[in-house]
Amino acid sequence: MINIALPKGRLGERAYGLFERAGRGCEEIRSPGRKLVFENPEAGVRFFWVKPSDVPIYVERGAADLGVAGKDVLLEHSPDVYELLDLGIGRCAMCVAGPRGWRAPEDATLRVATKFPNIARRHYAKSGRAIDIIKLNGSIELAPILGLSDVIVDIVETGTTLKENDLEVIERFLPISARLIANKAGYKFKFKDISALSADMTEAAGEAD
Amino acid sequence: MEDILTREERILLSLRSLYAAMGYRPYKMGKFEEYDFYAENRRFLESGNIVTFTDTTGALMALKPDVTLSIAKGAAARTDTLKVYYNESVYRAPDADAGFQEITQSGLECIGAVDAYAMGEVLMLAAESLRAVSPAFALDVSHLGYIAALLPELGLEGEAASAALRALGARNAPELAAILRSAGAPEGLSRLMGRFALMYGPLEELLPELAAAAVNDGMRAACAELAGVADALRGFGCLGDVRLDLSIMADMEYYNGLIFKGYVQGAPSAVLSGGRYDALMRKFGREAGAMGFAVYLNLLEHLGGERQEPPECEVLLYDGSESPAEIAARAKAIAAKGDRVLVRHREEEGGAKA
Repeated sequence: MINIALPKGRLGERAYGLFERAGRGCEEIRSPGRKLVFENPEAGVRFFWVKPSDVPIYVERGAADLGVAGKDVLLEHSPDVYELLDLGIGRCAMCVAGPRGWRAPEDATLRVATKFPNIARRHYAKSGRAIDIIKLNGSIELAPILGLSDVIVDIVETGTTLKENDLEVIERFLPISARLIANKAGYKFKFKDISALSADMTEAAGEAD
Repeated sequence: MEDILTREERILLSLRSLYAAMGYRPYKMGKFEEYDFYAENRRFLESGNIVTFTDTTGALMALKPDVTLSIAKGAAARTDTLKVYYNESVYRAPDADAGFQEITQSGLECIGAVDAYAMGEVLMLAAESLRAVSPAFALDVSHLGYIAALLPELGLEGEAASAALRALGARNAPELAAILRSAGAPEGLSRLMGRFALMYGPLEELLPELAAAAVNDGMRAACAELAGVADALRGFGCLGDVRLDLSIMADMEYYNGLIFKGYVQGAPSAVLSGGRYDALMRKFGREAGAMGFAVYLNLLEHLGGERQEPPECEVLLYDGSESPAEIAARAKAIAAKGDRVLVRHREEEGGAKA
């Protein structure tokens, strides 16, 4: 049995679609209810939904053998896991954005609001820019509007939210997509099953493209 | 007697007799070293965080974050071959958010003349150590020399080489392919790297494939070394226990040659880690072979399996009517029968369990 952690939300549902196409579906997962764990013994899989940022934790600690996580979450937390596949879904980019037409003065510390402090810190470390990271948990776009920060570092899919708030992308620096990750120990002990599943998922992801 | 030992103590006991049976000698070391010693070799340590304190003389000291460094430093001053085993507590912060942890590790080091037989012996002891923990285990090896010799053929150096190694370490074949494409690596070798990223299986089965793929002397030498080790393992009867996994990584500034990790079913990460570290010995000024491994006993705490119930105890109740000598005599009589006895005052009886 392979335990699979799926991220709650739209990305997780699309990822589940790939598992289904790869012949590892689980009927009852679609039926509403209070169940947390869904099993398909014939296909040898067990799914559960967790908070997207918790997926790498479940996988790294072995509660799940496999998981689906955005590259953004992986880069932020750097879990010690295998990253087997780029599922090609949930494509977006990690960007620096700020008020339209605004350019940061270079003689002042740049205030950066973000949900991804590690990614932001690494990005600015490359240029040696002095920054002040403001870690927020949501509504990042609000920060520059209220003067809490100069810019934001966040994932941008279509840019609609930015536009609506009079913000624009200043720099697009990291392509993001969903990845299939694996626990290192689980991979060893379930090598055959995981390799087969991974190959079927490659095919399913290819078809979906 | 065995039944009063915890799981960890029983494992420790079997590891000791295992290592001693192959002539390894116990090695006991102090709890602290000067901080500078670790600061100079920070990259050798798995986590950079070190507990420091000021000694009575004003020197900045560190609680040991690692055992191998201390043994290697000691061995640098000798000329003979040292075979030692240890069981020590080290202090690390594997997860910076969770603070420092005391980690019990047991392991061994072989420093001096390290040939194919000696490497096979160390690997055999690693396999048997894992078997002592759980019959469901995996011992995986890689050879850093093989990978290091392959990198220049791919046109990789500096940051691109590090990125490729990270991708290989994460079995991230798509990213590895992208790095090799942008480095303009030859197509055949790029495909080979892609295959390496997903390869996993018995050393004996995969070694011929590795040898066939070797394109330079460095890679061929690594294969020859692996073949020698495999031969020793065959002699020990445990070649079948060892698998090849080229995604295992270690810092090439300290490690060279064979590196390995051990897993047991139920533990989410490697419980055993080791490798060949001649490069570290060179830093300490001795040209010698060096190889060893550590078993992280603290990771075994949450392994499933039998959790021992505390054994039944006979409860001996007493009150003011007996003299201490009389109570002692009754307690002694019960213990002499081989039973456990818990002696309590009658007033405490409410909480007693018989």
